[in-house]
Amino acid sequence: MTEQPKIPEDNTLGEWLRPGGPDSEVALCTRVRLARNLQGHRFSTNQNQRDAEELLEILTVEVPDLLRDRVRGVRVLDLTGLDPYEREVLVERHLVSRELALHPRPAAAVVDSDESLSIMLNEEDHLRSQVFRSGFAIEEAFSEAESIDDLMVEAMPLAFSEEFGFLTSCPTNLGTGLRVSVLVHLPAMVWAGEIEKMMNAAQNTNLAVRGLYGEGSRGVGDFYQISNQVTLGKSEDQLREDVSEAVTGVIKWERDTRQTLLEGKTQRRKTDDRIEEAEKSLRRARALDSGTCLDAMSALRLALVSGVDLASEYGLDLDLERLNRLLLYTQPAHLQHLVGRALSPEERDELRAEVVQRTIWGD
Amino acid sequence: MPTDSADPMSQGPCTHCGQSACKNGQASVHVLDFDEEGNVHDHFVCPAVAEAMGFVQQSASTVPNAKLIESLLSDIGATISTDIQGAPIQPGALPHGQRCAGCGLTLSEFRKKGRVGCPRCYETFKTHILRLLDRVHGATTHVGRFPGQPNARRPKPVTLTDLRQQLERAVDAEDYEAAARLRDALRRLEEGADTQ
Repeated sequence: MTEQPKIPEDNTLGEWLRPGGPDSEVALCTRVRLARNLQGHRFSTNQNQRDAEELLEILTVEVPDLLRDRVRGVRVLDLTGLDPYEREVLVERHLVSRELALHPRPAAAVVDSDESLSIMLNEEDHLRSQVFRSGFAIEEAFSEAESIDDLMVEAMPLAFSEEFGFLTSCPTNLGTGLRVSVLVHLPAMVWAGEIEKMMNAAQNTNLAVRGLYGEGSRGVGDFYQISNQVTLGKSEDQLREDVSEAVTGVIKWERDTRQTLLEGKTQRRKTDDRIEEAEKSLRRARALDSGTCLDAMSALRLALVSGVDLASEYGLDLDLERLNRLLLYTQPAHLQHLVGRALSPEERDELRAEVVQRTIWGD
Repeated sequence: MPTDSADPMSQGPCTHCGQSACKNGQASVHVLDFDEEGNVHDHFVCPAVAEAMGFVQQSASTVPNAKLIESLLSDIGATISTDIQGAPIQPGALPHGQRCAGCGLTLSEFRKKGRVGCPRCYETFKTHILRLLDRVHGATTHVGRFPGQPNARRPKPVTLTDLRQQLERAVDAEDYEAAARLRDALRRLEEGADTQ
């Protein structure tokens, strides 16, 4: 391979991967999303090209304007001219949804320089504000989202009815339009076979559990997003409380299970084996598929946050920030972004192995 | 809309079930059906019949919202059209050509896409949407933030009936201070009602 791919050290990680938030050994990130629409316009899912262009003309001026005094480094990302893999980079950074990236209708996102805020324009709803906070920080994220919502209410007429609340394109988001989501890392519960129990418990309390990028039941790399399923008939306070209570329980559950895995003699040996296996699979691979890579990084993350001395026991020069950087830059679109062109899956697997090895073990 | 009902009335025999189709003959599911005019029809049925009617509990964590909506919408107008023996209960098809004056979306398009077309659609397709909301959210009314207001629902206007009930309770509890306050409030409200 002619490229010298190495992850840029100075590149921002984005708030969702910044280590150090509350309970961050289990909870990576909290996201609060509010869905809103402008009164007097068709919903985005029922527009013609002209409707969409007119709406974007308004929003790409109004939204950055109202944020400028409040948020640092506001910029508008116009999705129209981007290559598919460039759009996918934004998805992998959680700045836009896959729906926004894939749909052909004109769309944009307004983001800040810390990547702690992204307002998707003309997604399924006209405005979808997302606020990110490192770790388990629902109140901080909601408070910021609420303040931004207040600015929007002052600046533009939003579609609202006293009976149904904030009107959305899909009735599943009606009412508060609020989705509170916490991304948790649950390797111990997966290894101990507790994850199904957790998912059943969440389901019984009307919460949704998805993977790192919203995929189905088994979270790759043992990452799970826990969020509220309903948005209508409960206040924002109640919805936050529901998610908060569940996540608090899951964090304790994972901590207790980790303790068992690291303290019992037989259990500890098995855990050490998993860490060693992860280290080997990363160090020796000539090609590394995304699943294998994430699973190995999951084991290393557990070791790091549990105080295992990776440097002396495994010769690994790795901290949480570098691991999070790897987590992001080994995603398919980020790999392609590193070399500036589209790659086949086989090329990506080879590049992934190379990037991991250069980052952890140097040239 | 199926609800697990604790209503003792619902513990009687299933109202739609033939002996052969029902294991225990006990109705434990309460189905509320809305017809085209928005009238409510009660059916107390056993779980087997509820399932035969198409009311299978979806797994909330594994069914994506859009898919869930599609599957629920495809039920609208089709459920309870026949009982499990195939005899008609609610004849009449829904007006699939019904069109929203705001954006032109038809009921068929709404059912197909699972998305409404504009804010006005919520009024146009209200009957159908109410059923859907109850099944998706277990609620039909917003209880949260109003635009530009704090994170709470606006206080509900106090009615004469509310105040009379509160007054009765205060008198029963021999809380005469509260009763006097309520009596004055009631008088003010009654005078206000008269002037209107």
